[in-house]
Amino acid sequence: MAVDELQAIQACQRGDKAQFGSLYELYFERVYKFIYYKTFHTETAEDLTSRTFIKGLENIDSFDYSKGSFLNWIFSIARNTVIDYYRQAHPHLSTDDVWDLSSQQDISVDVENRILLEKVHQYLEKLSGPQREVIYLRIWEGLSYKEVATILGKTEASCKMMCSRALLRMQQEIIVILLFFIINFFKI
Amino acid sequence: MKFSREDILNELYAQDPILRQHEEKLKILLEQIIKNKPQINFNEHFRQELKQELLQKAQQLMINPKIINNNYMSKFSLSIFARSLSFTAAGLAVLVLLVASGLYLGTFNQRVAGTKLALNSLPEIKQVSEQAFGKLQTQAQTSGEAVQGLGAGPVNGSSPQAMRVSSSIEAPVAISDSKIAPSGFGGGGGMMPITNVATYVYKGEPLVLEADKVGVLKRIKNVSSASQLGSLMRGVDFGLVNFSKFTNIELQNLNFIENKDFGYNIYANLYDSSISISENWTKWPNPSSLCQDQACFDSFRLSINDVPADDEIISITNDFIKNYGIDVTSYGKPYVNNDWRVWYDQTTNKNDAYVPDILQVTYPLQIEGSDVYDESGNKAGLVINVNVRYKKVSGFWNLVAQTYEQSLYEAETDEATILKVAERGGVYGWQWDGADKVEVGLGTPTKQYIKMWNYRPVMTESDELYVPALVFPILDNPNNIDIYRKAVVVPLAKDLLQVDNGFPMPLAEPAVLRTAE
Repeated sequence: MAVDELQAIQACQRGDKAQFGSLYELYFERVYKFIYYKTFHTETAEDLTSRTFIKGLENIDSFDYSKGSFLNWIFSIARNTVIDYYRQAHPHLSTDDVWDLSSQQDISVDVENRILLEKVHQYLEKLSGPQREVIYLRIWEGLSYKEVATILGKTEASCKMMCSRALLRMQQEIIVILLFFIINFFKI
Repeated sequence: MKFSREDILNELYAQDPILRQHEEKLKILLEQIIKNKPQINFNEHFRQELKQELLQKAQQLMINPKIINNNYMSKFSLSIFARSLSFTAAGLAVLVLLVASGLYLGTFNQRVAGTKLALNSLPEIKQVSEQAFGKLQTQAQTSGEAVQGLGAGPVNGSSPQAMRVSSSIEAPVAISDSKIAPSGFGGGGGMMPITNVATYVYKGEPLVLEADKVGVLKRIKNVSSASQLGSLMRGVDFGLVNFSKFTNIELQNLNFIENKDFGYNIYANLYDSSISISENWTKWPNPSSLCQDQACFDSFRLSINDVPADDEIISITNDFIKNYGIDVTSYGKPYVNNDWRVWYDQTTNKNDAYVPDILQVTYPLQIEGSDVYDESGNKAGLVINVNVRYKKVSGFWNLVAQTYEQSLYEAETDEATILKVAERGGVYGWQWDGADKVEVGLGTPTKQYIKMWNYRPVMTESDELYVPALVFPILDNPNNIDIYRKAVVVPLAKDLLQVDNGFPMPLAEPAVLRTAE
């Protein structure tokens, strides 16, 4: 844990909550992107990001840095906030994020990313929530496995294992993907 | 750090060599995933706004760590809240009902778009025939605000109406060094036995009374909009009752709540063409609400040091006006109502002195360049409340549409008649027998408007009138008699000066007697 981060957390826990602003500056972008990957919708991502940080601020006193990193803690809040949001909106489904919803369902998605969502939806939907998170963080965000492991609160080895299993799972769908790819190629 | 497809694959092969068997498929797969990475351009404005919101929240938590709201909804929540969760705002609920009942939203929008609400902020005056409003004093009237605000007790400073009642009568004043709260400022124990009343004496220049007619304005309420919007409700089945069976439906008001910390309760009165807001109480912290004893309550009392300077208060209201796009073109320079400071200054034991939680800023209404006064001699207009504890606007009222009809009425041209009315304190001025009289000087008047109400019992409603008037400033008030009054206002329409005021207004007497006991 960086010294500045630790100092900011300790200051917050002593009562100087305004220091939470430093933590926000450090992690806003990562949290926002993480949530966006789970929602594909700007307004929703903004709302859930704001809820995440507000919850973080309100509960900073309960954070124990001897038990884990702040990064992992705030991402856990973000993950649960997204799950709460989708489960509230779709109470009869076991929905963790936008990938668990079928394209037939009424999903609010940014227009510019709707086609992308449709393209990757067919193989990401086969994965578990944690496997998807490894894909976002390692492949889309380009974070090292060490960073991915910190965020997800796992070991580097288990993150690598999750990634390889995710890819193996997806390659089983490769025929479908190839067909999809070819169709799209001829459309262009 | 940038990683290539090959880097990722090599890491995976090191972890799980069996993956090499699927290399070609994996290359295609990874290419697809990388290629289809969504573009994320987060909004810098959002990032800054959220930071501000967090810092505000941090400040609140530092003041009171117990105000954590588990159902917190940020300002960014509202749009998706309305879309995806539950609709709590009553107005939105109406829309849901309309849509659910088969009214196609597009059609609804078209119909609403065709409904001119006409809540115009600039005065629009239409000339009508002479004496078109009938008699101006059909019934003995006092200001509508005073009627509503009769209770001068526990209004906790949030009711300007209650404050005005004390100034719309001859103000009895007793000054003692006790724990006092001026009536209307809360506390419930403000009134003392009557000792002094004012006797007004004109000390100005001779009056200049030129016109034999005055143009009386009547504010026009946009009833047609209420009717048109009401007609949209026809055919709505509320389940509990068949709405279509009602006839001549009018939508009188819309009430929304802002579901966030420090949110507002927004009230649009379509019938009256006015908008007001107040605190959404469930979203405003009330730190003393859990208090069980006086010591606890006292710990939350504000001191004089907590009260910001007038400039800061006005800056808060100006920012609010700007932020919420309120058009104040028809309103003059704002001022802070500091009447409470008179009481504060006169209290020896400052620990017992009352310091309000809410301060009021008035933006005086102006019509054709003239200020509008209420019957108690204070400038009338848009009033904005500022919560001193949180330095936030907590409400406003009297934001009304400026549509008028103007009709000529015979003017009073006799100077003696006007001065007689002025020296008794206005049209409904009245002297309390048995009290000591204290002379209060009146200066040369200026011509402005007075806002009055003409109750029409047959129609069970009131006309809101704006009558040209002479405003006599109070020159000297050595004993702070009737501290709320800054001027005596005399309407120039002859009709309004023919009032028998040989007895107190029915409103005033019980208010005084009850509190004097």
